[in-house]
Amino acid sequence: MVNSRAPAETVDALLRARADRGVFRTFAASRVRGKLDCSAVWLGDRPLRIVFDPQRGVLEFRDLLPNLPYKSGLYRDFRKFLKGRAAEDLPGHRRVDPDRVRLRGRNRKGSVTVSLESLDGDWEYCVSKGLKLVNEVFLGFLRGPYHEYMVSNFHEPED
Amino acid sequence: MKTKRSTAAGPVSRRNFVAGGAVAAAVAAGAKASTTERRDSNIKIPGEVPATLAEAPNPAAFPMTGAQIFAKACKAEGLAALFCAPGNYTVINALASEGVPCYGGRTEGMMCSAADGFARVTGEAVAASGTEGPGFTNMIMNIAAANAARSPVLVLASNMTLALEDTEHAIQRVYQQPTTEGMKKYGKRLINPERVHEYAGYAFRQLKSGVPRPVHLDFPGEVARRVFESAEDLRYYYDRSKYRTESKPHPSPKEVEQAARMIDRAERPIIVASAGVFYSKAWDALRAVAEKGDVAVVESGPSRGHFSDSHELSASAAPDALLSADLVVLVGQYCMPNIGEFSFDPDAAYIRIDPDASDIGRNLPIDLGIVSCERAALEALAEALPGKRRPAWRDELAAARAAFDAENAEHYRLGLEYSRQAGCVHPAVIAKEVADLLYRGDIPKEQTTVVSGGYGVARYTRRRFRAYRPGQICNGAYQYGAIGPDVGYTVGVGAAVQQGTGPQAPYKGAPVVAITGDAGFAYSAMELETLSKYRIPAVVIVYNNNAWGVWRSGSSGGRSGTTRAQHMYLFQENLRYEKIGEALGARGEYVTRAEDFAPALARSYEAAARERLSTVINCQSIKEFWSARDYPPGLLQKVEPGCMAYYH
Repeated sequence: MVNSRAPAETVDALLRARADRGVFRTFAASRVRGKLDCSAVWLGDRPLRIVFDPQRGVLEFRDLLPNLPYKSGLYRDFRKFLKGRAAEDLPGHRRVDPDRVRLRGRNRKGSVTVSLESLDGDWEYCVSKGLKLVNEVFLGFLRGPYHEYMVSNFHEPED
Repeated sequence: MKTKRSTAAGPVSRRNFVAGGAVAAAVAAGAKASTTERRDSNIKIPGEVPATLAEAPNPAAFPMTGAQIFAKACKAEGLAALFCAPGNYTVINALASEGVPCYGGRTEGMMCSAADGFARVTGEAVAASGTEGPGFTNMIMNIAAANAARSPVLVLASNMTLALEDTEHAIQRVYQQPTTEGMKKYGKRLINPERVHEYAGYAFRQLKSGVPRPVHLDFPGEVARRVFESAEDLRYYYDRSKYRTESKPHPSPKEVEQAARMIDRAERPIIVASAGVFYSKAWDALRAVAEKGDVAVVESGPSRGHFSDSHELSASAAPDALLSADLVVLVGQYCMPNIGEFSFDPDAAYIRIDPDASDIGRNLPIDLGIVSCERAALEALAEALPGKRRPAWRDELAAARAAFDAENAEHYRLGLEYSRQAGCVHPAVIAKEVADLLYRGDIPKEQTTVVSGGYGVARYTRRRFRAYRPGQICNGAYQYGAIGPDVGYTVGVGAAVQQGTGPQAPYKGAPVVAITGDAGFAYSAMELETLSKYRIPAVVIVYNNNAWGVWRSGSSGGRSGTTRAQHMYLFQENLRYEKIGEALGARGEYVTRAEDFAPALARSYEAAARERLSTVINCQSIKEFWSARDYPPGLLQKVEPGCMAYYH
């Protein structure tokens, strides 16, 4: 049903569905120069910015990880983690299929954005994989030896 | 070696708790260890202690005081134990005379935690008491912790009279009920002496139904000391079958069918089995559901063991599998996490089974809510659920468990290396050696009940502790995050095992093992005297890193770059906590090398099993082990639910 709509409408509807289910505690979306620009409070209390560019077919999680220097060990581990999401030994429900989505991490002045470029126009797959990925970043990857980073940047309790 | 080894059957006579073999070998290996052990021979348990413990109950008969009426009601309700410090004399004396098992400790607060710990590993209602003013207010943190853990603790604390309220006459006056606002299920200051039995009914209706939490009654002298000549002087004086029911809410068949369909359609369903499964004794029904539908089970809550960690469907030590679940069934999860606190997929569907309709939907959105006693719901689900095999899901669980084991093994490898480098004991070593003794040696792995306390050390030990039967682990810091009551919990857990109450019955008399840190130990160390006085055998392992676990928060090299603050986070180094144990009638072991820990642990367990002696093992470490930069992985994080969980 949603795929019969324009891509931005489809992505908007897919994200709103998560807000309606209560996954996002707050959700707001607007159109800025043809792009869908969303803000959601989801994991923790820091708003998550999600931008979808229908021209390029790219879904971005902007500034997902702040204060992460390019040469830091954490960023090195994060790139490895992203690369590992396409590993063939991962079960299908955990894997990001590189034939369907191109997954990238970009670090600008220590602020890390993660993007998913859809290669087959299946926006539902792209959105679902993007959200699962962000979820796994916070509930899996960052549960590694990064306690201080979580305390400093995401108000993780020190206790 | 001064550890006495009796060849005859010792005080623990039901079974041979230490079968020799590995433990004896470890003891021999440790003969040259750099440990100390000494007990002061002048410390004696006064003769009155065993003598009065051995006295037969002396149930009261009319004429009775209000305290005796109340105590009789408590006995009839099966109140499992009382933990107290003196005060509220008429009530605690009456409870003792009626035959309720009673324990007197060193602070009211820690006796309240003992009651909490007892409840967490037995599921039974239990009481805590102290004197009115200072005794009662000493219990506040501990009542709050019991409340957060949803423990059925009956708080009794009184002494003064209504007649002199507000006068500041004499001492110890305080308004009790407003003080426990927000940390109890029900509370009442008894005013009318004739209604004392009726209010016992109010208390036990709350303690024994729905979601348990503390109940707080305070007894003015006019109620406790009033003498009643006969039942005619009392109101509402009748049997408990008339003032409360054992009936439980059952699920509607339609909702059970819907839940069964959702589980059947799911590819990777998981049950989060929490406190309600334990309190409703639903472990058999839980296993039946899991095995019929190949449904994974992960535990959460203030105690563990209602689904065995050895089961192929257990996900409690398989954190990476949690994110794969597409359907989550929360059963008896009284303390609800928010989105992002449990590691589940954002698109997972949720079913919540809970006896309290008013809580369903709080914090986590639901796809189906079922108001029911957990056991009734699981029994109905076991009937309704179609049989199904999910081999891929089982494989994924097994792979996740193996990955977690491998991660723990790597921590141990690093821990040994760091221990050698730093000349002390890394927490990964403690975690591994305790697990080896309790689960991989001659001791039956179901036997030892554990108090899993501490802060930083707990991040390592929780990953290794396993539960194979209900009530095997008391999750110390659960929800409220109090690290101080660990020895208090140990008194209650140890008493439950000594009494063989509830699920502890098959292990009656066995030693208990507790983990705590040097910061937490300070709050409750005096209760070692209580353990020793009652010959409750416990091995209390103190992780001594010379600092509060959060010391880096005040470090100039830490998170906030603070100056002039570090001293607030540090203790004197190399403190000898084991000597506190020795001074209070327990044994002491001081361990400064990784290789000495296992022998010290074996000796201590043996002393507990054979002689009912408690031991403090002071494990010397350094605070720098919490630095991920210098000693990776440093202070570990956690994934919830499962074996690492303590927030929810």
